[in-house]
Amino acid sequence: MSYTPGWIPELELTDKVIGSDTTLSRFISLSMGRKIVFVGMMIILVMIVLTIFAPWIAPHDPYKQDLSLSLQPPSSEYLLGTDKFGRDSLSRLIFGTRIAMFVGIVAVSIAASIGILLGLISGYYGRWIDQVTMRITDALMSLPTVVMALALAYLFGGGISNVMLAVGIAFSPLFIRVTRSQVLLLRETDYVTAARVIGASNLRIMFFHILPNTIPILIVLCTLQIGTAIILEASLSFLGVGIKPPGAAWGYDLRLAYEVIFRYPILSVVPGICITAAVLSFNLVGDAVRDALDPRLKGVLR
Amino acid sequence: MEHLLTVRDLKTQFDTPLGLVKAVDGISYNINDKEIVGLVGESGCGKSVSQLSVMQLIQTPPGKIVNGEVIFEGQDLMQVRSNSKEIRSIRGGKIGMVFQEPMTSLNPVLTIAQQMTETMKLHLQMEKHVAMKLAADLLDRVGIPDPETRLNDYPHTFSGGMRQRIMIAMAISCDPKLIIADEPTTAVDVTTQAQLLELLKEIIEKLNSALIIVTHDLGVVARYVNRIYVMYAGRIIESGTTKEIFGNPQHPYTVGLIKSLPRLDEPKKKKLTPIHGVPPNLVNMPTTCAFLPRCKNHTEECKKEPWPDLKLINGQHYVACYNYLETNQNEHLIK
Repeated sequence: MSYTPGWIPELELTDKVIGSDTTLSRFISLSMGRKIVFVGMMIILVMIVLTIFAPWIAPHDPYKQDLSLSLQPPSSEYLLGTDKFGRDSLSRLIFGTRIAMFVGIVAVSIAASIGILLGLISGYYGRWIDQVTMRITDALMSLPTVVMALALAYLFGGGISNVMLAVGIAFSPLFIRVTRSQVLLLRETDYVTAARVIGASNLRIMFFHILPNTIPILIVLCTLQIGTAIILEASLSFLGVGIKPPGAAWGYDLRLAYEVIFRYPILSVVPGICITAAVLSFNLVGDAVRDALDPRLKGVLR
Repeated sequence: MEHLLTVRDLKTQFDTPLGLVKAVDGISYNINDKEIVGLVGESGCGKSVSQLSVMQLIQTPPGKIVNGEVIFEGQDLMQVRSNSKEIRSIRGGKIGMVFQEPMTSLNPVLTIAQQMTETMKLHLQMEKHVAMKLAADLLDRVGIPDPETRLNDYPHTFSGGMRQRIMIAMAISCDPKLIIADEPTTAVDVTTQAQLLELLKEIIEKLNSALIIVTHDLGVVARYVNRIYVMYAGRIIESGTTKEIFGNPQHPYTVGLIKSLPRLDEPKKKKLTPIHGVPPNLVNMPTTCAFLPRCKNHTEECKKEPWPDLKLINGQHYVACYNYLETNQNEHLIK
């Protein structure tokens, strides 16, 4: 008697996973198998399209002010209405995708670059280098990320590149920690000793032998952190230290809308939905990437 | 005669929370050109640590080479800084090494080609396509079928025995003068063991290099090595040619090791004689002979005197024991 529990979608999915053995095909079958992951992928895909083609898709100029059109309700001309300054809400959301994606990806790249470099060095060399790096990292991690990013953005003085830098630095302790912990494990493996035996230099061992082994866990971390970076950028813009007006950022739009939230709720709700959907999508896809890259990592991250 | 490698009074210690561990406590040995030497001893007696010390691969801290000379081709490796260019050109270039665990000695995320050509690019300054050709040639020589295709595979597609063959191919890729094989056959099954040792021996003869086989299995190395060093608790307690060690073992420990080997030419019902007890704890070692608690032949002298030094008794045969057995007393063990 074969027993097939139809109520567990994951079970059907494992069969598919066993059948295929490349990471890509495993990722595709995973994301197709879980509908919610598929939805997440689609949202990210839409975001990418909007990022690239924003000027052609947006119906109006997102920066053009016209006070005579201030706070228009949704109409066929302005699908989501207009904001306080008479700018088209929908166009601003579309251009906001650009900023969200851009800040998310660049900030995480900055964080990953800093984190991987410092993590590799401190994990590989150990001793005082490790002590110094890790104590500084501990100190930075004791601050809430939002507070640190806020302080840094204020220090650097807003603007898109400074926001990316602030978010990147605020996230780097996490990357340092994760990379270092992996390096500590990998440093003791036989193949690293073997690399030493054939006369490879320290740099070569770090970047050629150890780094590729940390990539799976770091890719997952990056995907998950992009979502968090988007939310952090929105928070900074909302608090007024992020994207400078009149820049079309979701967080800044939310701030403008918040002043009139009871009279024109749609202006607050839609950017909120955008932020939530973007973050959720990156988290879902990050989970799928993790499962595809290395099933053993389940539960190691997060 | 100038030896290829001379190790003199090598001492390696590890600082652990439990105390100072004298993993290698003043060992001296040498190996000549084209010679195969066996380093035999129980787990934890310092075999591997001594070999890693020669290559300057001890992690400091906790480990430290406190004393000793390692003279390889007239150069004292102990005088070279542990990560300098000089030592790196010797590692892999002039001394190759094969490890115990073939399953973990290859980097899982790099292809065989990437790992094999790395050595050649480093030491022979080879162009990539030349190195690839040589790598395929080496794989062929160690008996990997279809080497050109297999070069682009990842380690997980090879079995343990095949991986060990790849490790051997990597070790010999730069025509080393000396190959150190650290328990090369421990992790593979018995039939593969014999094949791998045959292969190693054949390659050594072709390359005119020397080989140190580190092992805990006297029986495995008996037919391949010229000379044997027996280690116990960080020291060499007996050394000599294979014939001397097997034919006329002197130290009670060596005798015990040989007696505990199963032999085909003895009646099946004869029980093997184990060595009773366990190897000593390397922390806080007594000053007397470390084998004393397990030794059946000990006398009052053994309990008072410090650990004996190696004494020449015959030919190349050295033993570290106060009352070593009289010559030919163990005649029943001679084939």
